[in-house]
Amino acid sequence: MTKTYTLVTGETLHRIDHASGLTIFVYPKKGYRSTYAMFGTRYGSVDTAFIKDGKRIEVPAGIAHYLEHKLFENEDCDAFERYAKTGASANAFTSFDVTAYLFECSDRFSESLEILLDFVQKPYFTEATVQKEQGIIGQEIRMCEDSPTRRVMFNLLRAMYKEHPVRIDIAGTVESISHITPELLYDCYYTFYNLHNMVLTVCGNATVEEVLEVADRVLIPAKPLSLDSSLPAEPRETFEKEIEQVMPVAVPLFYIGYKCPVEGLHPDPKTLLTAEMAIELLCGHGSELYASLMRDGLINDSFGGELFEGRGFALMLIGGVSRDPKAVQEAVQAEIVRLQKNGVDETRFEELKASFYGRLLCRFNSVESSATALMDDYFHGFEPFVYSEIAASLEKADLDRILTEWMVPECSTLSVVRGKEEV
Amino acid sequence: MEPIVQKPLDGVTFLTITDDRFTTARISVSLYVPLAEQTAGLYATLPFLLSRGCRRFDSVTAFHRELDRLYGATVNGSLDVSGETQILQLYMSCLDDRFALKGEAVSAECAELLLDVLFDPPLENGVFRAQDVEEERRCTLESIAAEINNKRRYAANRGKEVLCKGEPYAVSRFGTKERVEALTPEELTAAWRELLRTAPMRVVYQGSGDGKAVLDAFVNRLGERRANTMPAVVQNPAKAEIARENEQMDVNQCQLVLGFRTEVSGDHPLCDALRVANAVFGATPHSLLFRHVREEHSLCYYCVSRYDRRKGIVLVESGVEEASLVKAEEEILRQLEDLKNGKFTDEELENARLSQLDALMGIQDSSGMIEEWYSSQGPDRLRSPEQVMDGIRAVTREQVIEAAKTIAHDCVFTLTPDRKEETA
Repeated sequence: MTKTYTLVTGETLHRIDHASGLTIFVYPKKGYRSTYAMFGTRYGSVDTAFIKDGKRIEVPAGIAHYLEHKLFENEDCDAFERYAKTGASANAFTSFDVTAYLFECSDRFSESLEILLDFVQKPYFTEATVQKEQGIIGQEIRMCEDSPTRRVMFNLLRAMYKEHPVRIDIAGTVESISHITPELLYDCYYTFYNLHNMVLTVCGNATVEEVLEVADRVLIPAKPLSLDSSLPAEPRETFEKEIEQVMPVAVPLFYIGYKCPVEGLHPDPKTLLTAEMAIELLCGHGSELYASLMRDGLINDSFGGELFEGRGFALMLIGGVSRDPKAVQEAVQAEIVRLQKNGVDETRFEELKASFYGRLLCRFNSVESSATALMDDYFHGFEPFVYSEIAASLEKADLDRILTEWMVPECSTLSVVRGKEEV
Repeated sequence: MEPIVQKPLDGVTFLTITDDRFTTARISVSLYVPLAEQTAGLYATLPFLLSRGCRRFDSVTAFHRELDRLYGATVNGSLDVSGETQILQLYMSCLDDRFALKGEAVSAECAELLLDVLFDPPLENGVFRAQDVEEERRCTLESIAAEINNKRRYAANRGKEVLCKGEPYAVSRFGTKERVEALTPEELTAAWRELLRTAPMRVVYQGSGDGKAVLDAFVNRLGERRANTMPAVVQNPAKAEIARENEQMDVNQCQLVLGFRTEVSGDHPLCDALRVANAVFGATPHSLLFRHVREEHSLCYYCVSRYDRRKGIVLVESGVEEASLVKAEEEILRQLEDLKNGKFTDEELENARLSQLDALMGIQDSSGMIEEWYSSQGPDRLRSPEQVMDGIRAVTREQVIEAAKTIAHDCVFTLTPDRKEETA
């Protein structure tokens, strides 16, 4: 079954519900030479358990990421060697709630697509190959341990969430990954890598016919699936209000997080976009707060915010570097109170609305951003490119509501990474 | 797509790329100055100081609110280094007029803002305002301080310092702390005026229009000028004895950086061959380094080689356990020997060539990458991705081996866990 959408750019997007169980999006870009393809599953580090034969099985932290690494290796050869023959640039990533395999190419698209669909459907794990990966992923974990930008973020999540597995590092620990076995990998694979739980997004120099020619041939029809995606109940307040780590940095790095209420798996798209606007209003370069903190020497141009959201969690992040993160936190909170009291200025709201509309349209330029947005929207259960459709219709009352309901001190945490000499 | 190239004034190259595939229009202005310890900190601060606003919108808040109103346009400063050239850049990106909700001429307004930022900053008594300078000086100092944060990049920079000690290439793009601390509004203003008169410049216009109005306005405001010429890149052979430097820090993972000199840079006939040789060696996930150092020996998560054509050096970077440092270095050098001895298959060569061609072909689908491609080449060079692709297609196996043989080992830099901590 195929459905077409006319996008805000005037281009056409195709959605195919393939007989194999896989949902496929094809977004042809006229005049482009390159194509970006992503094959993703709704499976990430927050999936810490699954049901097998009626029994709940807990898995070691980091297994989704480990599985992503190991899937590149098939019985006869590894996927990178196969891609080498087509010239495509391939990669993969594991996030809290998604694992995706991708490539970008400017030629021989069909061959690369066949490699992608084929290797992801052919797991091959043995004691020896699983063992071999320990050294490689162990070094990836070490690299992350030495990254203050990553530490300040993951510490924040650990402090904010009490029960939700977003508090666990995606890659796990050197200790936790030592418990991973081929059997566990197969169990996770057959639970979560079901085509009904996956999506393929293709953007750029490709047609529906080209994609279907490969998909029809390579996709192995999947059995219907029912997944228990329930997550533990999470209190509204943050678990800890402050968290700090000492690392070799010259100026402290910080994040202030505001924990947002999430009912079900995700807030609706309008709420999410409005929350992003609230962050921009509060601390964007056009805000009074940004100017005054700069003037006081408390931030530099790395200061900014974003909405960080996934299955069952959402938080507003405000961060940067500062000689005095606590003072920044106080200023941020004071500005929130002021905005809550005075309401959002009508002119400023219109400026931000225009800004969001324009920036969302810019995303259509990039085959990578488009393919990624299509996957995200699908896994959220949203219509494709939903944000650019609703950007022009955001309402000030929603913005006022988010500011009041979401940005409350009891639901916030400050995470800091600072150098030794300052303690 | 080949740009239309015009040279309207001395030292100014204006590139027009008319393209209606994108929802955005984009203009960048790059100014080129020699990288030098005495001036790096001074020039490094300028693009950020200028991009704070202009006389019409003379505060960061007013300027960014105007950009928000113009559909979230961006006008930013950036700083880069290419070989021994410091590149100061201002760029603008905005929604193409076709998508404006009320039919506004967004790109013309944004182009005007960009030119205002470059030519008409808010001044006080003829110099940059003290408060603006103070804030940007602090930002540059914090950028210098933050270089330690990314251990991999920090180690690579330290490796370059060991490799090219005493040469401009070893100078940090932000300059030194002492130099930045000493900056004054007067000095920065004089430097800005001087650069407008003398720095080689490149403007890249991309949009659905022909860029003529932008070119005319730019030439008009720039006026008469005489541009400096850029000095040649310093070339030295590898040191007679491998230099080794180590730094200790409170880290979990060791950083291993190997520096090599090639003396193949600029218009050297082996440049394209060395690019392919480097791809065979360590620039792809099917390269010798990836397959052997990472996959076969499980020594690391990344082991990558980079060839800087502008300087003619190769740098290998890897993150490893301390106990594996010696083994990793040996294995990297073994793979290099194999490369020099032609111990790679024709298929490996073709795969490396294909990966380079594919990546180059993809550049034209991103206005950001097109801009970077043309602005990072430096003022005296203008090669399109297609021209480089032709060069890469023509490279022979013999040339790859010949190019590989120019890679001479010079130094090793390691960043290792702090031992003093443990005994203390």
